[in-house]
Amino acid sequence: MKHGGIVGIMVVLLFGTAALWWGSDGFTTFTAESARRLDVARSPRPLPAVALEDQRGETVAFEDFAGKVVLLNFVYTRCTTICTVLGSEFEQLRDEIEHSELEGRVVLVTLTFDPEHDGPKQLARYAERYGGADATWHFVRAPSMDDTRRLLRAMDVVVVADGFGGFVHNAAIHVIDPRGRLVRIVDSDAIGEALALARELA
Amino acid sequence: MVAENPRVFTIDEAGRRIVAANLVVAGAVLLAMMLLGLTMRLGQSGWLEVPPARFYQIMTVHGTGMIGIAALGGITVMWYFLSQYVRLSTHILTANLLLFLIGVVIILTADFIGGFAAGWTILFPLPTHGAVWPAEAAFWHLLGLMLVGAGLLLVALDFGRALIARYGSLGRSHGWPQLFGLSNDPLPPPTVIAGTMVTIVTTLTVIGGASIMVPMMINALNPAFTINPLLAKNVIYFFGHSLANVTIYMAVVVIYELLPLFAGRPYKASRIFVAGWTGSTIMVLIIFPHHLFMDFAMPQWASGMAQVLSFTNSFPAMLVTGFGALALVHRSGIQWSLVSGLLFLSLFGWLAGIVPAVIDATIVVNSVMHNTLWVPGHFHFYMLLGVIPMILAFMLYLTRDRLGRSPEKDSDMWALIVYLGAGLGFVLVFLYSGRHSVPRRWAVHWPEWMVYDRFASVFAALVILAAAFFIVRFLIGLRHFLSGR
Amino acid sequence: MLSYRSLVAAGLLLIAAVPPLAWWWEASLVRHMLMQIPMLVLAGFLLGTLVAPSPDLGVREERAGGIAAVLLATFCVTFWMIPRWLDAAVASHRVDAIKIMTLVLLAGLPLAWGWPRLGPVARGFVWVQAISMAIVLGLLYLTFPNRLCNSYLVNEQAILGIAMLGIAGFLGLAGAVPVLFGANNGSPAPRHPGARVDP
Repeated sequence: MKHGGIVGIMVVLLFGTAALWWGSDGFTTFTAESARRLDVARSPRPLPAVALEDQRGETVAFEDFAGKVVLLNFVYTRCTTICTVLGSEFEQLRDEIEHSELEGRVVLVTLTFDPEHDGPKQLARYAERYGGADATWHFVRAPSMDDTRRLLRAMDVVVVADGFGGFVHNAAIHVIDPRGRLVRIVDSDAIGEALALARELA
Repeated sequence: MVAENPRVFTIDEAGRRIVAANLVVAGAVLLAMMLLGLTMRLGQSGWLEVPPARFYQIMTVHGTGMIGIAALGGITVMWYFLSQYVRLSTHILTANLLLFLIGVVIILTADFIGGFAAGWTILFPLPTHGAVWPAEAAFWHLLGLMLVGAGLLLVALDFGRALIARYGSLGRSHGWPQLFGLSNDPLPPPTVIAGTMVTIVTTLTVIGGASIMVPMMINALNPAFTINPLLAKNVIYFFGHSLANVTIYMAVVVIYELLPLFAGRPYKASRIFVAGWTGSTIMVLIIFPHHLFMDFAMPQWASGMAQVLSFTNSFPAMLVTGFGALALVHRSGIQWSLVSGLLFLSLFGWLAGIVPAVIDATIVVNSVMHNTLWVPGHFHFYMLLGVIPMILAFMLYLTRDRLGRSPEKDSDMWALIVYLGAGLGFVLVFLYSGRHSVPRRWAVHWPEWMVYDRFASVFAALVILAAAFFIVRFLIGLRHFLSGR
Repeated sequence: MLSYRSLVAAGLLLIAAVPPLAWWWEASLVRHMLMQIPMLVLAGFLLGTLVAPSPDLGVREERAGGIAAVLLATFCVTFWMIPRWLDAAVASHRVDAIKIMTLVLLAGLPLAWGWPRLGPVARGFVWVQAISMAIVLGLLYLTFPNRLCNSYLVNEQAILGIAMLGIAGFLGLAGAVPVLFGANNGSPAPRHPGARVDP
């Protein structure tokens, strides 16, 4: 074959570029976090039905919030860094919601991924730091570690030990629509964006 | 190893064809870019309506295109003369031209259709976000630059391969063993020493360019991916300054090779010549922080170093070339012709161009002058009166003045005088405007400044006429060159 | 010679790719990127030298084929340098298996076939690209304020960035020293100046 080599170069260039294009969603998505967000925005994900327990020790479930928009974040209560910020951002969100027409149509859920340490008592104490739980803001855990893992996996949330007894994890606001599907993930400080989405969906 | 300059240059047919193609492209793009430059000056002078958005697109294409043809023309000059000493590849030179042309088409599309208008030295993050053009235009403009850079890299690597094959290492082809007294062999010819410098500087420049353009391209598509802007600016000027600067070191071999033909004496390298070029090799690469005097976050030692180096940077290679050329022609009964005239014009441009450059690189001056027309005055001095006459001299030598003996016509001398006079007038207007604090990169000028702009427009039109005259002469003689005799 | 290389390749595969150890490499960003991946590519390279067709056919077609092979290896390694896919390899055993197979078969193997066929200019081009890619990744990992990989901590990112810049510096020196100061005596001037060669 006279031009076999040149054809080979062309084929490799074509397939190589195509593979990189596919692997980065058109050179836009290079990290797992942005890939997860893009994927959720494209195809909303149903959440697994798991039994939850709130800061009063009462059993709840995501179905209880059907018909409402849920803004969900993940924390562990021993956390002294990012979860503190997440908490105050949710505090601001609650303020905004309770002073607007969104009250009763949008709820906030803070879910611990460390149910073995965070029981109702710890959750209640964590809630106190931000003015306590109310009808708008719920603090929950999935008592079984297996259920917690199922939840994390369904949302592609990755929790890594930080080597100092704590954890590092994706900090973001997960937006769940009234039909109980995860529809968007936005930055943890994107309060305006989260509210706008909630307003749109509610 | 004989260090004589060959008196008759030989080139095979494939080589002739690709050299001619490179020069035709360089000549055509040069004229087109000059017309764009005139358009900008006409727009500022109020004689022509140029919408500001269009002005900045033109400015971007003009700057990028001029650096592009200076590099294309310069590397062709270098390739032709270096191929007299080492075996070079025509395929690589052809690949370079193809990459250059594809890059030019992409850049023109990105700038004139996509609207990219951030200038030749782009400053992260401005060109990609918060701008009036889509980020994709920035992506494509950068991709076009990458292709042009990849082509230059291929030629530089081929130079390196050939020099190592012939001399053993780039250190030897640079004359270092002789410089440090480790060898008594005759020095390599001046063109080989200059070619070594060009190989080293071009390769490092492209490494720097690719290292910053790839992240910027990714940033254009994905804003979450960011880089440190000060770091980006440093790398951009490492790349941008060195590339613009190395074009003159590519083209200057035309003086080493052609001037001896007119003077009837060989141009020989000396240890001082090697030392001068070694100094320039190093300084060209570390002088770029003089573009960052206004960035107060830069460490002071970097600015100080850049100021000192800016004073000394061009001196070594330029002084050895200048003195060498003067010694060469002194009492030699030199034959004056269009080609030798252009060679002297380019030497003058290079030597005199140092004055505005050094003034600009002085921190106390720079802090008030950096954003004035003084700066375009400085680099137009080098380009218009230094690099371009070298490339024009080479074109005319190849096509109608091969042995320097063609009879000169009056029109030739007039064209030369017009080029020198109008070119000098054009750059002096820039410098004078800068002295009077007329800002650079302003699409619309105050009426008080327009008188300068009008003078500049007239000078620019005259320069273009003279350059067009030279290029038409070159095109007419092209068949003669291609036929091989 | 032959069995020695295959033993080393098998040993590398055993150490780098077999699960409990593979997971240990992948538990750290630096180990994952700078130890496991190079070991996999090297294993593929060694296997390639055992099964490659003879590299000295010397025609121009061979050169182009060599470029295609090295290009394939470059694309493959680049793909696994995308933080998202590094994460995916940690999160899913299936992706990890694909990673291991492609790095051995589509990066190491073609590199062994392609590299000996490359001329000096193409090798120089690969060298320059490798340096600038290491600088790009180094600057990215060193200066990016957030985590690029969900599976790894941000301090590891900085270590990797410094290591990448170190690799760029090493590659630069390793290439520049022989090029500038090589002891080769060169060859006589071409008899016909202006005659050209295939690089």
